[in-house]
Amino acid sequence: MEERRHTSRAYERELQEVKENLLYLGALTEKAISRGIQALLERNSELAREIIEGDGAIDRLDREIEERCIRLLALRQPAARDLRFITTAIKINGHLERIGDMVVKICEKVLLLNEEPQLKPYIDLPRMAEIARGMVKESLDALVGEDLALANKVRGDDEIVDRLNEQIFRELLTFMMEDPRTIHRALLIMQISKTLERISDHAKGMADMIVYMITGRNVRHETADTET
Amino acid sequence: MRSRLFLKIFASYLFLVALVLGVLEFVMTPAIRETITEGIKDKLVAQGRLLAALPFAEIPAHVERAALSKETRLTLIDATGRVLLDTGSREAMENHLNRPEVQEARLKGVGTASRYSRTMREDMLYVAVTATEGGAVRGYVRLAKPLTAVREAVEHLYGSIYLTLFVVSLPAVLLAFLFARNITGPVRRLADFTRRLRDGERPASLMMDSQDEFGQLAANINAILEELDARWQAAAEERARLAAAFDAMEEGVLELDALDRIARLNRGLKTILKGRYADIVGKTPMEAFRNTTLQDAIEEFRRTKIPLRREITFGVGNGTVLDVHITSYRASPDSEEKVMMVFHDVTRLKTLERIRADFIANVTHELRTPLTAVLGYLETIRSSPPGEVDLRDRFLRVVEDHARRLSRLVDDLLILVNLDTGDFPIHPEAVAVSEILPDLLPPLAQRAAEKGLALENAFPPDTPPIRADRDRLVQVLLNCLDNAVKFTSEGRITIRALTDRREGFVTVRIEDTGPGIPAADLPRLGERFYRVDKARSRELGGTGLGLSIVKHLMRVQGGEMEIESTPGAGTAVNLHFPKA
Repeated sequence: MEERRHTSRAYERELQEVKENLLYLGALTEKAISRGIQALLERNSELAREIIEGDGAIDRLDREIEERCIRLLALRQPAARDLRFITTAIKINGHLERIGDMVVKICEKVLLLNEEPQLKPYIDLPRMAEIARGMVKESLDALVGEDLALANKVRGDDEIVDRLNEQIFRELLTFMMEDPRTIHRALLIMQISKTLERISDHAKGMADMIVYMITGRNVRHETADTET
Repeated sequence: MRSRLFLKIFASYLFLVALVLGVLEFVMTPAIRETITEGIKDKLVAQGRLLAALPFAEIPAHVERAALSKETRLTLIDATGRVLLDTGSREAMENHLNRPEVQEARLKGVGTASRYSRTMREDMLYVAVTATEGGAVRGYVRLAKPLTAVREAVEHLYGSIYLTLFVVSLPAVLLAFLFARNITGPVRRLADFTRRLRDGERPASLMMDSQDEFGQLAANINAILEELDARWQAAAEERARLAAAFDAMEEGVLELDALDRIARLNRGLKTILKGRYADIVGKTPMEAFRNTTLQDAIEEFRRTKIPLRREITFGVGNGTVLDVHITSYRASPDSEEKVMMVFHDVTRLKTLERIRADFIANVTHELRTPLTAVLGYLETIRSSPPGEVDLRDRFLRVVEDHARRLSRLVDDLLILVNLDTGDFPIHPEAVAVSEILPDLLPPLAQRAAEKGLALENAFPPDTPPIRADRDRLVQVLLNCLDNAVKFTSEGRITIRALTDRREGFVTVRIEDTGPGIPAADLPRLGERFYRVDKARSRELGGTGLGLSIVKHLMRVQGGEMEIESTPGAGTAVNLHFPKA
């Protein structure tokens, strides 16, 4: 009996460690996005380079979390809620790692953009970046608080980012048609915009998994407004 | 329902009574039975001896006269055992010589036996006496009596005993009842009292009228309670004091429990966090703040156990900068170590640090620009041909311009330094602004007119006087009006008074129709060298210190500067002065 209680306590601790690590990874990713946006808006190449170097930590933590999850699955054979949590953790882990990579991509574009004068003052891009960052933050908040409403809100926000992305595309298209010299910069900004849109997709993917974790229902590939 | 204790005591009394009964029954009964049987036997032996003493042949004749009781049966047996006579039965009877009582009588003269008589169909007591004549045994006289008499006698005796016992046990039970109640009463009161204590009540002291052990117990309990009350009071006071300090302190305090979850935090921390992190009690720091720097610090502390200090930033961008000190404590040597974090909001400090660093960089820059120009022009003048008087004059004028700007800059810096060090005499008096304006406005109006602007004095002469230092007031007004004229390219500048903007204050308002200031820049306008449009400001000969000086001068005079602006429409500077 004592042995069993001990085991279950150790198991609880291992689950909590996975959660803590996942949140740490989330915090790192969140910070990377914030700083990436800052590097973009302030045209700060030094900061961009710093972020690119910092991605190594995200990758290492990603691998560690995955190993912990697999070990838990193999040794503890979790059931029901715990199993859903671990599956969710593995998925979110993957999403966060991908988001980290995307921030690196944005920073690489920032470095290229900074070699040329600024094309135009950014208006929609900071808004979009802010929403994407907020989505990552809120999905992590939903994970901590097991907040179904918040997770569903994140799933809905994806729509806004998609629309902003299209808007930025159209606007940049006019720039390029007016002046072919802007094409290079406009394309870079388009790629950044697209990458931000992908980040928001990943945030939505995390929110989907959180809905699954809380309710046990798979809502992936559903739109948020079919929710009741 | 009676208490268990009462039942126990009462039951043991009942048991005692029952035991007495049992002992009487099982110990006394055989003795009593024997005594009675012995009496009957003695009587029978005596009667038997009387009869046996008669000549044997005459015995039957005396039987009638022997006055034997009805149940007594007499059997006359001759020496051979033949039954000669039996008062109990008329039938012929078998030889009785082998009867135990007869055998015993044959040997000892008298024999007794007690057994079931088939003749009488009853338990009988037999007594046989040998009848001798001249030394020869002639026969035996046997007397028998049924033991019913004994039984009846015993039963009769029992009746008395039972009656006595019943009579005795009634008061015994009553006594048991009373005694039990006497004991259980106080015990029950004690139990009630202690239960109420356990439930958190604090009943008045325990009352026991008895002087016995219960009374002592009650006195002891009361003494303990009083002692506990005193300690509780002291502890509560101590706790209240700590709680007040805990909540009143500006620093944020956060405590983790043994499972590394947030156990409590003080109001200071809530203020510092500005409600950004709701419901953090019960969460781990990672769940609550998701701050990697904080988490790294906590982990480092856990590893090293050495209290440490870190600077962390909460929130995005230039969020709240906190100085966190991590340490731990133990309530007692055996208890778990608890991690404690103290947060100090250093955001303001950080901002000031940044402003100071910016200030020094700015001063250097501001001083160097005119100096570079002065040096450059002087060099050009020196290397230019001596005949070029016009050129030299023009260059000298440029040098002079720059030198003046340097001088203005140094003057402004001096004012600011004096304001900072507090080394700045202020002589507040009642001043009517409308009396100052006529001396102040003409030079400015002339400069405005040169730019095609109108300078309108809409200051009502009947505005109540303000309390200000006359010289500083002039300086403030000049700075603001100069700014207005400088930055407005078309339209008008109006100076008016507002008396209803702030209770107890008169507001001098200077409006212009200039380009306006973006909302994002408004809060930073009082910062030294902060310029909304850097290039333009310098071009116009500003030092970047004007508004900073106004802000400070207003503050030392007990007033305040407030700027409203709509980009594209104009700016209004409100100077709130206390009423005289």
